[in-house]
Amino acid sequence: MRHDIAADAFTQQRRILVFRPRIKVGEQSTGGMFEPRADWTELARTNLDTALEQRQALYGNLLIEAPEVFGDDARRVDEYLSLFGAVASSIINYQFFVGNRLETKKADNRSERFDWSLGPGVGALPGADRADYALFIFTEDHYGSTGRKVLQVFGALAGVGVQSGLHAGYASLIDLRTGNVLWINADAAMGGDVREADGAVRRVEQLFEEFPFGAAGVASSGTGG
Amino acid sequence: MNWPTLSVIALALTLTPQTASAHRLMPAGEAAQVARSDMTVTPTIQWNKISQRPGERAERWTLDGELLNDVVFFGGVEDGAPLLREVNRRENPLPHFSSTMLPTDIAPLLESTLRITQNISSFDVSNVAPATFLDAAGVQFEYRMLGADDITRQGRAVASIIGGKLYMITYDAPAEYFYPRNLLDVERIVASARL
Amino acid sequence: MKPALLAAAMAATLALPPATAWAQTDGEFPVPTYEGAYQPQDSDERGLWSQDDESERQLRDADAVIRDPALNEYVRSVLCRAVGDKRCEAVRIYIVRVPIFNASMSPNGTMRVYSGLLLRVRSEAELASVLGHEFAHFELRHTLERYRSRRTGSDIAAWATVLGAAAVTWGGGSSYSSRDMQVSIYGNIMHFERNQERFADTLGFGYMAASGYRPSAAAEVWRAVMNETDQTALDRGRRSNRYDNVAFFASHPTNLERADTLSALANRVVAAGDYEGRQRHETALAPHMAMFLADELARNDFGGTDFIIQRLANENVTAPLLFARGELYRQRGHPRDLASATNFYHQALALDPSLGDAWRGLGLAQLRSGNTMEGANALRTFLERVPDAPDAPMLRMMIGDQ
Repeated sequence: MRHDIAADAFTQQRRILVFRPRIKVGEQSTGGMFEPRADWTELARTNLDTALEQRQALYGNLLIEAPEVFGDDARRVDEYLSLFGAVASSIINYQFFVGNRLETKKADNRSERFDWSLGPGVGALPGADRADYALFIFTEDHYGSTGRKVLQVFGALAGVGVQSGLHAGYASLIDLRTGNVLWINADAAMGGDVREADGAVRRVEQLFEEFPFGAAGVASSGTGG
Repeated sequence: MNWPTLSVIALALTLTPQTASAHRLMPAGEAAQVARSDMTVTPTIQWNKISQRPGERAERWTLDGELLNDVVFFGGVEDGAPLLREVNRRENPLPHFSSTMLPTDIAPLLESTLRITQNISSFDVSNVAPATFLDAAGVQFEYRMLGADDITRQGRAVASIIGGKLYMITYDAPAEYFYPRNLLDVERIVASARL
Repeated sequence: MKPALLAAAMAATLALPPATAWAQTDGEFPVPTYEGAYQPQDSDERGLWSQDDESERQLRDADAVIRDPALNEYVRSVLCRAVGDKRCEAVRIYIVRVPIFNASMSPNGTMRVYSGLLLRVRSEAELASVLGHEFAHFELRHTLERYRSRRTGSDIAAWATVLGAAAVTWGGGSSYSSRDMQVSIYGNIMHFERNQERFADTLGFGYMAASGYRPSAAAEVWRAVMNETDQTALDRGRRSNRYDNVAFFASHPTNLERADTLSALANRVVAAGDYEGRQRHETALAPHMAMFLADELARNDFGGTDFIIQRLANENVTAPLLFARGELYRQRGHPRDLASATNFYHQALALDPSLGDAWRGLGLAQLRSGNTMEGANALRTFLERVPDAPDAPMLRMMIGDQ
């Protein structure tokens, strides 16, 4: 959660522009390499879309779907989605992940600063004029292949930890005036098999954990991220 | 979404608890020797030095992570050496620096290196002009490149060949918001460089 | 995989329709009636076949896609001529700026053609042979799917094995896939079995026969890519006749005999046309050659790049090709290379004295060789022609003119 947000920022009626989530699903080979699977990705897309629709119902007219765009507009949106991906993975990598923190970010953690931004250019994206915040959602799932699972067993015997699979997701609220990251929920080990309908529901639940907005636009209790 | 970095997470998670050593804080106003060389720079704001060296004679600094701002110091790359660590020497060997290179050969060297190491798909060089760097006649140039993560980055480099070795500082960042944000800070680093 | 079952299925489906929409059919290489793109019947398959799939959406908007209308029109025209308008309708072609030889087609009809492929083929016929081959895989898969859907439940299990074999498996094998690349842009790497290759070749020849393209072009393209790979290895001091590290061959297992087999097949096409389309190809590619050659040069593959340039030059020596060769040798930069480069630049300028970049290359090669006066003169000529070149300030300093 951004350090300098006014406490009442989330109690007033706000509108949130939801961009089409970026979803990637594939397999991890024995050597740990990622092999994308179009069929799984499509399944995840369908399941996550459904789960998000259900979620949206909880928030009434708080969430606005970003307009379908083409051509140059689409490329601009995509550029920002890609940029957001880079920001989010940098946050995970260098602020959250204990083994890898940048010193300047550790200092931020100690003083409870959280200062990340996409820059004010987000305000010019299609649909941004109708909302106060943007919601970006990413999921990436690498399922361990048979080979990797075998390796895991041997690894366990040898006392070496071998990660099978990656189930990452992030959800983030961006201030559309400044581009500042107001809130981000990021986890590289999320639950729910997104290839299954109920798994996708679980994943969406996790993504929305500590979402600053409660049902029907009322701020949730609790301190948030 | 940036695939390479999420894979870094996956990789990091696969390692046992004692993983990479911590990244160092480079405090403002303190001179620092970089890239295992005699080149020193004095930053005006604090930076982070990434613990893993990108090359034998290279060092990387960042503020928010190399995807968002990437300053690389090259401290005396030798004749016949590549700029960065080889990714796969057998299949995709990197080009080598040569002491006889002209100033105009440096940008193509960087381009080819980045295309191979980072799967850059387009690379446009502009404003190639003479520059004084480390008290020697050198070259500076700008570049614009499209990464494998579909992000357009802008970059700037300054370089000199001294004693047959290449000294260079490069800075690149997403063109949108990030590149201009810290350009001045990088220019100050470059201005402070001494050999 | 049950080869016998697969073969039987293929034989059955390919022999099915007697009359076709084509003017010419070849007895040995029939082209079946095209029943249109297979539409998935149940929700299980939607994941695979969805028209509006995530990959294509991102591809559509990606910056690495080359959108030039004329070039896209040309590539589409070759595909449509090769496989016919009816088949062509279902395909969405994307030209992607990646300097390697590859083309692929997703189950939903998205065809990706890499700029490296366009650089390496010399004519419409050569391009048609590759695009046709990719389309053949696409059509064969759909034919099998359709066949399966008509079978009763008890056969499904048996078909599962066959379809398993025909199904694409995703995986990487080339330099461009071994790192995490955005799937949307670069496509999934597919692995086809040898048998599937045979069927795709057969159907591919059917298209070539029906459309009048010279069938032996296919063999020449394969041979060229294999030779290029050999040259790359040779230059790097390796001996290799393994091709599976090359992207296209990761998808299409091949060996030395493949090109010979293709030649032999070509000779058996009875109603063979001989349309080559070299001129049309060169014209379509001309505005993009400089960019494609520059991208290729940046790969740091001396042997392979030199081979490509020479193969193109064998058909038609052009100033841009000679210039590219000059750049290649100058880049490697040994003293003998610089002399060779100088020679190539001179040849390029003899063909086209207005090729500004060749003056630049010549000047730089001379300077680096120590021929300061000649170098300065050449660079001055360049700067007169291209005064606002990106490196004009640096060049002026290098020749002492500020």
